[in-house]
Amino acid sequence: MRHSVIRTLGLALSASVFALGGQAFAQQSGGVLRIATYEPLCLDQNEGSSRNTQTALQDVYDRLIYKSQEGEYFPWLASEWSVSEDGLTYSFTIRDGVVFHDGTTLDAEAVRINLQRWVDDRSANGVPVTAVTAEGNVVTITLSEPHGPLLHDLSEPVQGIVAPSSIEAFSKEERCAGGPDITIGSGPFKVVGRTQGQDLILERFEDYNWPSGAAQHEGPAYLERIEMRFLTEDSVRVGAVESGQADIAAGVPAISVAAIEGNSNLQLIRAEQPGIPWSMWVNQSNPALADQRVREAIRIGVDYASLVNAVFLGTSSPAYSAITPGIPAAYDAGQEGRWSFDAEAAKALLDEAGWSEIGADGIRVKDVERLSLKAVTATNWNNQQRELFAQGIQAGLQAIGIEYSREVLDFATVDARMKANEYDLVDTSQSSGDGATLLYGAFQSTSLWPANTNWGFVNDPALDEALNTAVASADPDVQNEQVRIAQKIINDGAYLIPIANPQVILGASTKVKGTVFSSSGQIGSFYDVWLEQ
Amino acid sequence: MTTARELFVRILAGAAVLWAAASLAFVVLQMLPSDPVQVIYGADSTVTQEMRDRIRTEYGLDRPIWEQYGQFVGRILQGDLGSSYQQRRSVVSIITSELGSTITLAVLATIFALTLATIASVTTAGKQSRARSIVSAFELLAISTPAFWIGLLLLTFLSFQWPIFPVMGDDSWRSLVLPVTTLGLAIFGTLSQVMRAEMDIALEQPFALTARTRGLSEWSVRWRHALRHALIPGLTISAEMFGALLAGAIITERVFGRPGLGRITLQAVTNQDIPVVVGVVLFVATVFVITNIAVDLLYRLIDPRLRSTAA
Repeated sequence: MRHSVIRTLGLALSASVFALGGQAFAQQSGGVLRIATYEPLCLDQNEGSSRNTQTALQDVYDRLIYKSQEGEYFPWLASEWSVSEDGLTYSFTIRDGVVFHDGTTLDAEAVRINLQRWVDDRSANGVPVTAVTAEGNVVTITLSEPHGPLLHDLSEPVQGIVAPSSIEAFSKEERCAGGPDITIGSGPFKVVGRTQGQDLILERFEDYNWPSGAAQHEGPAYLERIEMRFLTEDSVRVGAVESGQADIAAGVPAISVAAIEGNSNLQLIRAEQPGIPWSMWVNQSNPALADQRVREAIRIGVDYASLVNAVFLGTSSPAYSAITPGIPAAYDAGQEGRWSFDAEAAKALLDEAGWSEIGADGIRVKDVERLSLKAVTATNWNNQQRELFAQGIQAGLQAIGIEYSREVLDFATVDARMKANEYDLVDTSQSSGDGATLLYGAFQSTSLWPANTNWGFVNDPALDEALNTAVASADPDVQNEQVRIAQKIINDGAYLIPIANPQVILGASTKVKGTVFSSSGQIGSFYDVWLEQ
Repeated sequence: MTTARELFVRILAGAAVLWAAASLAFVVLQMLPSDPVQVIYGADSTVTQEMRDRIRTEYGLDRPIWEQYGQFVGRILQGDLGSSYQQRRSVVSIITSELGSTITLAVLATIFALTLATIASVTTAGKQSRARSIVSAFELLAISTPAFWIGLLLLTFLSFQWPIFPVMGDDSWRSLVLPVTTLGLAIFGTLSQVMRAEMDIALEQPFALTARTRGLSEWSVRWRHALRHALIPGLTISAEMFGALLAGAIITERVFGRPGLGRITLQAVTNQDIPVVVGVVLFVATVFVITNIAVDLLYRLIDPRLRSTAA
């Protein structure tokens, strides 16, 4: 097992707390961790999953491998793994002595059943799997063509291994609702209480002794119990942690950050969210936006950086690339500061592009057509701050002669708009720890909606080549290199207008120690977390 | 008309209302521009064609519309409301599992509001006094303050500032006090104003004068005679509000993080989880129909004039 280097921001934060307090690492066992958070949709992640589900269940189900925030892979249920030369065969050796919460054995066959379920029910999320077999203690996945991100996919919390005894005994519906004796994994915590719409109670699994290679200790977890209470309202979660009713509050809004920072009993735990920053996808099937000069004018015509500081109050940084710093291994820091706000230059670009005539309402006109852009976003991609920010974009674009209107719609309506190609801009962020899959989905020329998110109709052969290479390679270094090349091409062509890098912000009691973020941008596990008594 | 016959007619009418509600829901559902498959997989996932086709077959979305309507009505008649796109559970099990919590909340809130309104109207009806002005002002305040705000205020003071009623880690009666108060206050204002207005009229009636001349105290006149008049509109409003509360506890349930129908409805509407929306619509319509029939029967208990079959 690796005890070692401080790897993540979360740990760095708690380490500095130790330094200040002059204490050594003296983890204490026991205690109840109370978390105010969002509710998971379904307790069997193969049936339905959201990021909320993942955080709540990542300590109930173990995965084959673990991926750190830095992008390094560690053994977990798979003690080792290998990939064939041609990238078509992945073999995982399953560790001995692992049992599920109900005492049944976790072996290669149990893993195969889970993977087969993923292939059958979810078409393996598009991974070209042709077969999953188990022989002895080895599980083998065979692909029809190379798919580099497979390791990442298997490290995601949705790939937690569910006990076959639970899959056999209960219907999908029962597993989704979940509860003690239904929701069964092999993780460091087991489900002992579940009230839908209210809470999920976990208790330490005393037999646990198979943490991932990234864990900081062995044996059972430190915490005795985890009580998750589902509170949808931001201010109520924050109030709960401020009044000491909760030890951790998820999703702290920007407006509450200062209050938590100023409270000596509380700490902010924050990390860069891995993924694509909050950005505008620019629809190039609109002739006006097919002109690169217009896209560049939109990119430099608004003072995004100042707006980010004014609106997000230090909870986001200005973004300059299609990948956030939350994926450090693939992020190209060289893109930072590639452009800066210059309204005059933006106007000149628009003039040059033929939009030199200005109408009575201040909006540019070309061949009787006004330069008017319709932006759409979905309710669940939006929040109050983005709403406010959009007003800043509108004012900025108006000043250079572009009309901008933004509609916030329920997702199903957005989906219909996209299919009908009735939009000019789409603003959202995407969250995932795998840069290759993200950019392939958002910019590869065949990745059109609804199978994927190339909302900009980007079609650039050089970009396609980089993305195809990245996705086909099983070597993380090659993937990351290609993803960096892709980030540069995306900026060269102004295919995306990155705005802000969101952060994951938790408010916590200062008694909470040992939190570490994983590649999914959430606290990786509560296995190493402990409470100062 | 006899009571039995009237009841029969009311039930028939109720069934027609339910059928209309179901059909309307189906039509609206067909008019939505959205693709249920995308809804099923959620906003953040991209879906392969193979998965799409499988989902279409699984939910019967690949059949002609009239056939879908036939199956829809057929299933409802068998008490099957289909299965949630999002939660992959049957709608019936979702509603029944959430119902208990909401009913508790709605019943307690209605009792709280009705009690408070009865006291307020009995004590302040029929006279101009300082107490009446204060109570009226309070009623107006309760009507015009959004439940969301009331809930947050109560939480801020009675949970965060002084931890009397915790929002976490307590499932006893204490966890019910603030939500019941929030929801109850929201309906108290209207209820109290209507009941007082009715009592004002009743206290002017000849029967009130007669009662007083018989030597009945002012309190007896109010409690035993005038209140009956006020209870009729009071009950009607309470019954209507109770039905609305079942689906309308949304805000209270959201603020206090409680399970319940309101929360489920909100989730289903924002995610366009149509089977759940339709299920809740039908359920609430049923509750309206039943409470209306029940209230009509209750009137007869309260007001003897309605008992005569000749009318």
